[in-house]
Amino acid sequence: MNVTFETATAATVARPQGRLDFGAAAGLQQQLEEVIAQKPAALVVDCAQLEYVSSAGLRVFLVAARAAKAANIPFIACGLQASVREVFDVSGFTRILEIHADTAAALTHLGTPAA
Amino acid sequence: MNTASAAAAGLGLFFVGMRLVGSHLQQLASGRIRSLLARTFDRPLVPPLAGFLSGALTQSTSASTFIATGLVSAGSLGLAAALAMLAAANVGTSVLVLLAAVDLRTLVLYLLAATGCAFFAGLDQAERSRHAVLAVLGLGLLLFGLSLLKDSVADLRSNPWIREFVEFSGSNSAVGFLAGFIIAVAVQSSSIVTVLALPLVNEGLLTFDHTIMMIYGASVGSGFATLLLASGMEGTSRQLALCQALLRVLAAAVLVPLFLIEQSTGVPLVLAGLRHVADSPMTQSGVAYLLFQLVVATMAAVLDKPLLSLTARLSPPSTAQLLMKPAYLFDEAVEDPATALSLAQLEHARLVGFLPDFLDDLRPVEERAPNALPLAQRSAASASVAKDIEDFLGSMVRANPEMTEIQQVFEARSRVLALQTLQSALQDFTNQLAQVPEAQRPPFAAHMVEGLHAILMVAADVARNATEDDLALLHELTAERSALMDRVRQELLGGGSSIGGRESVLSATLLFERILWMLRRLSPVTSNLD
Repeated sequence: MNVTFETATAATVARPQGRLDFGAAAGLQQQLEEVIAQKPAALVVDCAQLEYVSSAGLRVFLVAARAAKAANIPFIACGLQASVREVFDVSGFTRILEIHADTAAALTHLGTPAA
Repeated sequence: MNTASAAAAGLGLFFVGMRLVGSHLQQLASGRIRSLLARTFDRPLVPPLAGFLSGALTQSTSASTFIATGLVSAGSLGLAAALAMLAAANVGTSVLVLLAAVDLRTLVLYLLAATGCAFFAGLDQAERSRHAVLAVLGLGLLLFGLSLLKDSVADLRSNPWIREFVEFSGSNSAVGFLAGFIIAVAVQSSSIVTVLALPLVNEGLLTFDHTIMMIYGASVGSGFATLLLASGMEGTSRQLALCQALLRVLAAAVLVPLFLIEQSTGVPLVLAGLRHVADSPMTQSGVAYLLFQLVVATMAAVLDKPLLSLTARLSPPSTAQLLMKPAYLFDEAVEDPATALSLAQLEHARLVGFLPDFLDDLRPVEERAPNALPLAQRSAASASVAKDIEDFLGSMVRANPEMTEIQQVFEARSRVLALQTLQSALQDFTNQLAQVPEAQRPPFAAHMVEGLHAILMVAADVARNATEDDLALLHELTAERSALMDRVRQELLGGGSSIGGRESVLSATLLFERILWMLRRLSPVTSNLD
């Protein structure tokens, strides 16, 4: 899977594309941990182009959210497609993660309207 | 009476008798005796005794091997004890051979008369005595068949075709060995081959020397037959069959050279010894069979460790067999309640770690665990270990009647019960969804599977190392979500999938909610958060 990163003052936005399955999970997790290690103001994962997430993918969100919390960095997921949203809902992950409709809403929440 | 027809009738009665003895003595030995054996298998003499009985009752080392295999698979018996059981089973098969070698004609007639009286008195109808009566009838028919065979063999000696065939079989030692081997593989029993050879040696159709080689060949052949029957098996089941075959080859490797040395040099060895212990060649042959089995048993006792290590290399335990064994529980630990409770907790955590794998059948191959097993094997392995934990806790309480940790024992037992219920619910959940062909499953089914898998992984983390954060996380993830599930069920009811498919998916949604509820209560700490 491809992941692009956009770093701004208010947050670093990660944009994974394609399928987040067992094969892709370790790579994304490592990339998110590297970003968190750089101490961004916040980390937003824009899932608009994420087509599928398996349990291994859900675990990536869980591990990243924990690492971000430990580093005192706000962590937000946003732009979930309907099918991905359903996996988050049924697993209960929408209860433990901060989720917004899209990047603009996430940045607004962080206090910086999207450019 | 025609000689050939008498021989055929004798053979027929022999086989009917064998079947009656085998099946009814086994029935007789079931129930109380079997459960007594299962409870006492940890005592040193019980496995050999059980082996001797199983060999005597089934008259088949293959059957005894598979009985031992079943006990090992069920966790009732360790491999070393199973090998001791097998060795004694070999000796047990000698009982019939020795009985057949003795002239019991008068006894047989009384036995059949007594069975007839028992039938007349209706004892064959009463549940308590039925199996005993039919087993005695079987023994009577078997021995009567043999005496018919013995009588007719004397007449058959004059038949040129039979004489030629038997003379060829006994023409040299190698042919005798090979004939015994082939017939034993075909009938899967060396004792039957030996018993059938007895009338031939008695009437001089086979020489004593060649009968001995036939018995050796048959003994190796029945080990080979066991190995053939176990060819579809793997791991410990195959190890026992390999041991059985190797032991017989080793015993032959000792006895056949002794035979050849004695034959070529005239130095008195085994054959001389056999001639010394009995007068008739029939009894001598029966004792030769017993001797072979005793050599097998001795080798099993002396070489058990290298044999088991060799066969473990040749046939390593399967994943299912490894998973079926507790990783932390051992018998001696029950003496110390604190240690025993810690070990039970570790084993419990290990089992919770396997819960996500219950969903493997429903997940894409690339998402499955590296040691993925079909659901039936996975659930059987986990249920077996859960039962082991339960038994372990029970043994600990029995070993320490005055223990102060009774509250912790109660909690540990409750957790095992909760885990067993959870295992069963997960099995039902997977079975329900697996009934619906993958192409017909609504997308929600796959989402539910991945979501539940993620929650079960968190539960596994909590069981391994429960931090407060982990507990709070599991508590949130397992929160009630009836609104979501009700909406999904409404959508499913209006959906296009087949009625059967819809029913299964609807049942799976109900099981999903039940599983979440149970996961919330799996850990006493998470349940306290409610």
